[in-house]
Amino acid sequence: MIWTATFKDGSVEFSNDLIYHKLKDRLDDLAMITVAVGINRYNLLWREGTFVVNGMIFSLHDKTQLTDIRPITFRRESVPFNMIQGPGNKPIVGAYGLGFQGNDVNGNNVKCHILIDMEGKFKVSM
Amino acid sequence: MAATIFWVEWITGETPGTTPHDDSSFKTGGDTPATITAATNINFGSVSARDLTPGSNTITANTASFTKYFRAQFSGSYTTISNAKLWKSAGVYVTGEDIQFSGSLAYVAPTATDATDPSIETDATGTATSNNYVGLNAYDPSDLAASSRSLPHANESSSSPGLTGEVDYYSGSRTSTMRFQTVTTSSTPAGAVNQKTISLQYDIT
Repeated sequence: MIWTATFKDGSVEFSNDLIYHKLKDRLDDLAMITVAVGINRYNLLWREGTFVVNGMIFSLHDKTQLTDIRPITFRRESVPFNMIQGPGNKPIVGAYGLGFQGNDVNGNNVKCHILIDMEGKFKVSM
Repeated sequence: MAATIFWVEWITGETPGTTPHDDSSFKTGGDTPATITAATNINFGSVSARDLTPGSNTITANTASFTKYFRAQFSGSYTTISNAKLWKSAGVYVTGEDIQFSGSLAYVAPTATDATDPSIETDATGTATSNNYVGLNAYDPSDLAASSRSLPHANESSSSPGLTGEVDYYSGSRTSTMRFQTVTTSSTPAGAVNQKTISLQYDIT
């Protein structure tokens, strides 16, 4: 898995871990966020709020209707707390999330993201 | 960037915020992960103790174990932890056995009286009313009604070392208090119950 943040000036930030801390202070300059899982590529065009997944383009929400827009980039992990063997402190990665959130006209927080599992399958989450 | 989980348990005679310490003491060096007595299991029994031996502290059929109070402590580096859910991910009940769980509540002294919490869920999915959620915002029952459940708490700096303005590296945020208890009925058979696995899921940025 590799995260990529592409900026308007052509510069690129990579991470094989987490990416949020590398882009959160450059949102005005952000062009696209990409997460690669296996051979699949999941892109979020930041200005448009449009997803591009293996050539398929779709939108989940009109990004222009939101304010205070922030990216959603997360890794979903779990840790087992085994009742006999002790705490499992090595997280198991289950999925990655990519999308955006913002406030609608009523001040409600709206989240739009896709959830990508480790096999590369994804589902929409709102 | 990765998070490591420590399970901090409060037993009879201990009070969250005092022993083991909570946030303010962490920030002044009161506790570090290395000095915390992390619980290594969640064995239930007839006493309030960390890492108890079930065979020496058995529960009589038709009674409940002592309640067990935990907070999961996240160490390491991350910006936020959110959307925490907990469930029984493996292990089969014997007849009449049940594990009860509450993901966010005020601490009270452990007791062997049935706390009548809902049964623990058996998967991470579910609705907003499912008994999966673990509070993250503060240490009281209002957590589960909060619109955003995330760590670090409001009085803690984010944990992204190396970034401008965030050089004051910090880790040690804890979830709200969780309560666990196992209850049995008169039809629960004698002998050891089956081993279970509890899993905690969260989103890390």
